[in-house]
This record gives sequence, structure tokens and C-alpha cells, in this order.
Amino acid sequence: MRIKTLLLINAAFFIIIILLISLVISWAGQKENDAKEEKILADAILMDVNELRALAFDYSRHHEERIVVQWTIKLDELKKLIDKADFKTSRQKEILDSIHYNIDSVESSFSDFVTNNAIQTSRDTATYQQREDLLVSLLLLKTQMIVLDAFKLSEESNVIFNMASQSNRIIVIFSLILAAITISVSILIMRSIVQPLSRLYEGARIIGSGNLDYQVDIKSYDEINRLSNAFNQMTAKLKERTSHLESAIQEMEDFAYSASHDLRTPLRGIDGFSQAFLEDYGENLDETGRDYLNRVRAASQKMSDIIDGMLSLSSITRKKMQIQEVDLSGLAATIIRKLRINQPQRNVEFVIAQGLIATGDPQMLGIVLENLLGNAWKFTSRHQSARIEFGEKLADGKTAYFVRDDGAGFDMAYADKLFKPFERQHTEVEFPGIGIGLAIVKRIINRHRGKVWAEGEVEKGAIFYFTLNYL
Amino acid sequence: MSKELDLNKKILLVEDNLDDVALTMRALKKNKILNEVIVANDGVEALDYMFGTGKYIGRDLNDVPSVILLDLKLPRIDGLEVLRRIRADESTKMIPVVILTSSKEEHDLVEGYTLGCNSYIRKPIDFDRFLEAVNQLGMYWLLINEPPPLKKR
Repeated sequence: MRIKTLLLINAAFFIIIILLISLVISWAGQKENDAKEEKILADAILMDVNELRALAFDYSRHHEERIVVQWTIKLDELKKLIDKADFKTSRQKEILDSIHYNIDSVESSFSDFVTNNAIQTSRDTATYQQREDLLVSLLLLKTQMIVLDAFKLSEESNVIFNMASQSNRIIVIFSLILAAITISVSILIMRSIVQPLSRLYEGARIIGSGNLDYQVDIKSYDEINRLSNAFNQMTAKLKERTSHLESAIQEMEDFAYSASHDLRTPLRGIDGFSQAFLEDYGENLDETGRDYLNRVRAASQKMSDIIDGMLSLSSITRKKMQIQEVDLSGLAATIIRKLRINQPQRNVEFVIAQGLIATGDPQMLGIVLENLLGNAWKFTSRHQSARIEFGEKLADGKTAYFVRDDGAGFDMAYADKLFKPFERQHTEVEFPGIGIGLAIVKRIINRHRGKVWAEGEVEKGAIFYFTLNYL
Repeated sequence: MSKELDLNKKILLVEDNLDDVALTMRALKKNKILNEVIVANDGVEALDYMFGTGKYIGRDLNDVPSVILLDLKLPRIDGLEVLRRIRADESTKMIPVVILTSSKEEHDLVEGYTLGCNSYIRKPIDFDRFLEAVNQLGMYWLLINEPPPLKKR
């Protein structure tokens, strides 16, 4: 189902359930309230009837005018109560009718009684007494009947009220269960949306970190399914294009490799036959002729160095990396020993930070340090004494390793050309070299997903920084 | 030197580049290695010589070269394949083979040694260094090294 539909259904369901619940609860509450009011009314009727009965009894004993007044007031009150009464069940109505009828009868009996009392003087006592006894018994009997009816009414109302409050309780419990179900259904729907979304997110994260083979597996029939399908297609395309690019780069690398490789053979011929020519026919040549041939040989040697540079540059890209912990300080120390052995007469102070451990390809990082330290060694060679430092510092929150020297330095205006292959800042006479070292360094650092940059000042020295990001 | 170069020992040079052939011959001559050099210009020719087929049909196969100098990049059948076939045959598998190539590709090195080459020399461009290399390998394989006893066939 589509998420939009799902959410609409969810919302509608929720609203309907809530309306239903509040309606039912208020209806049940109303019903209970009504029952309660009826019960109170029935109890009031019972109380009034009881009082009337007591008043009738009192009057029969004392014949006081005050009681008649009280009777009249009570009776009015009772009548008003009965008129007000609006009972629902037929049984209640029946009882009420009976009370009504009896009250009318009691009213007339009482007035008869009062009249009898008023005329007592004009009649003989015996007849009067006889008549009064009869009236009293009748009155008491009738009031007793009303009391009984009122009792019944009260009882009945009580039962109805109890039933109402019990059903109200059931309704509330039922509503709570219904609400719980509604909320659970909502949560289930939300989870059916949120869960695949978070799986999609997880997939995006994994693919982003470089695993292009990862496929998001979401089995549903909604927009997220479409999204994840599109996502998988995108990843497949990305993988395809990446492999296209990789093979294009590979082709270029292979071409560079085989081209430089194939250049070696004719070059060997040029050098070899110039040598042979010099050896076999050198005597027939004058000084200039021999000089030219030597220049041919020197040029082919230079070209040979350039080809070797290109080959080592491309071998950096072709080589498989072996990632492990590398003791940079130890590597630097070894390189420095070699430099000193080659030129023991040089006065160079080395400062190496101890315990610099990095993660990377040990052979490649060795080449990086060989080039950076070798450059520092080379470009300080025209100074009486030099100081070369290898250490680490924080740059943009990352550990950057650096090689600092106080040698020939360079003009910062050409800083961006430093790392390009065969770009040189100095003439071959000043400092020998073909300009491949820093290009190799850059390539190695790139393969370690790091950065390399340099700062320098002419005749003050240079600092080369690099970061490694192979984690 | 207590030993003299045995001039009956032949060298098989498998090399397609004629410049390199000339330079190798010159380097051998310069180093006073005057043994007979048989030149094969491609893999097929090399195998023909080794197994007495093609243009070498009827050759005396007991006359085996003391060392084979083998280039890798060859027309038709390449050097590694030549090496594979020489090593696969009972009668030739013990002949010393020195790979002499301009390739320093790791794959070639590994493959060469896996197939059982005895040395792997990368041809230097500098002729002086090339001379030196040829001198050393001639000295080693023709003089110092004791060749394996080869079965007569």
C-alpha cells in the first residue's frame, strides 16, 4: 500500500475511534447521571412520604392546626417532586402512577379527617370517635401504601443506577482497549515506514563508505520500495561508471607504462651504439666529434632517468597496497643513515620525533620519506650546515607529518607546480634530478586518501606536510 | 682464473630486437666470451632450436646450450611460454635460463621465477652497465656454475 494512503487511513481511523470513544463515554456518563438523578428523586419521594406518614400519625394524636399546615406544605412538595419526575422504565412509571393515585386519595382522606375534627363539637363524642378511628386507620393505611410504593421506586431506581454505572465501567474499559489497539496500529504503520527508511539510510551510509556492491533489500509495496529500487539502480550505475573510470585510468596507466617501457629498447640502442662508435672509431674523430657523441650518451642517460621516473610513477598507481601500521620514525632513521653513509662529510643535524606510527603501505610510505628527506638533504647541500626535522603537528584537526629543512627553499608563487611530474624549481647544475620525486609523493599520499602541501621561502627553507587518511 | 672458458659451450640468445642482439654480441665479445651464440629471433625459433623442429630439424639434440638468454617480449610465442615449455620437457628442464629483459614488472618477475628461471636481469640502458651485466652473467653461467648432467638422447 502507498504510504500516503496508509497515513490517510491511519489518521481517519484514529479520528473515528477517538470520536466514537468520546461519544460512547459521554452517552454512558449521561445515562449514569440520569439514573443517579432518578435515584436521588426516588429517595426524596421516599423521605417526603415517610414524613407525611409521620405528620398524619402526629395529627391523629394531637389534632394541632400546625400539623395541618406542615402536611399541606409537605404534600405540595411531594406533588411537585412527582410532577418533576421523569422516569424511564414502565415499572417506574407504574409505581409512580400508583403513588400519584394514592396521594390524591390520602389528600382527600386527610381533609376528611381534618373536617371531622373541626365538626367534632356538634356531634356526640362516640360517633365522632368511631369515625375518627376509621379515618385514621384509612389514612395510615394509605400512607403506608405510598411508603411501600416509594420504597419500591427507590429500590428500582437504585438497581437501574447500579446497572448504568456498571455498564459505564465496561464501556470505559472497552474504550481504553480500543484506544490501545488504535495506538498500536498507528505505531505498526509508522514502523512499517520508519524501519525501511532507516535501512535505506544504513544502505546509503555503507555505499557512501565505498562498498558499491551493497544492495538495499526492502520488501514492501510502497514508495520506500520504489525509492530503494531507484537507490539500488543508482548504486549499480555508480558502480558501472566507477568501473568504467577505473578501467579508463587503468588503460592510460597501462599505456604510459608500456610506452615508457618500449622507449627503453631504442634508447639502449642509441646509448650502446654511441658507445661502440666512440670505442671503435673514437680515434678518427676530433675533440668536438667525441664531445657530441658523449652528449648523445648523456642525453640518452637523462632520458633513461625520465623513463624510469615515469615507470616508478605508474608503478605507484598499479601496485596493490598492503595496509598496516608503519613506524615512520624508524623508517626516517634508516633513510637518514643511508644519506649519511653516502655523504659523510656533510654537516647536517637531524631532529626526528620519536614514536610516529601511521597506518598505510610501508613500502610506499618509505618512498615518501625517502623523497622528502632526500630532497631536504639535497636542497641543503649548498649550505655550510643544515638542520632537517621530521615531526607531526595538528592541521585542521588532523595529524600532519612534516619534513622541514633550512635549505634552498622555493618561491611560494610556484608552490602548485611542485608536485607535478618533471616540473623543477632549480637548474640541473644547482641541484640534480628529473623532478619526479614529489609527483610520486603526491600519488602515494593520494592513494592513502591524504593531502600533501608545502610552504617555503627562497634560501630560508621548505616544509612539506602530508596527512594520511587510511583508517 | 683456474678454469678456462669452455668454448664448446653454446649460448642460446632469444631476442627479437636486432640492435639488442648486436649489443649483446658486442658485450660478450668485449668480455672475451667467445663461445658460439645461437640467435633465435622469436619464441618459435627458440623452441625449434631446443627441440630440433622447424628450421632446426635434424639437429643433434645432444648439443644443448650451456645457458639460454631469454627476452620476454617476443613475437609469436613469448618468453614466459618458451620458458614454460623448456621446463616441461624432461630433456631440457635443467638447462639454466637467464631472463634478460627490459621489463621490471612484478608480474613478469614472479611468473619468471615461478616457471623456474635461474636469474632475472633487467637490461640497463647505459651500455657500460649492460657490459658489466653481460660480463657477470657470462662469468657465472659459463665459468663458475657447474652445469647439470644432461641425459643423452
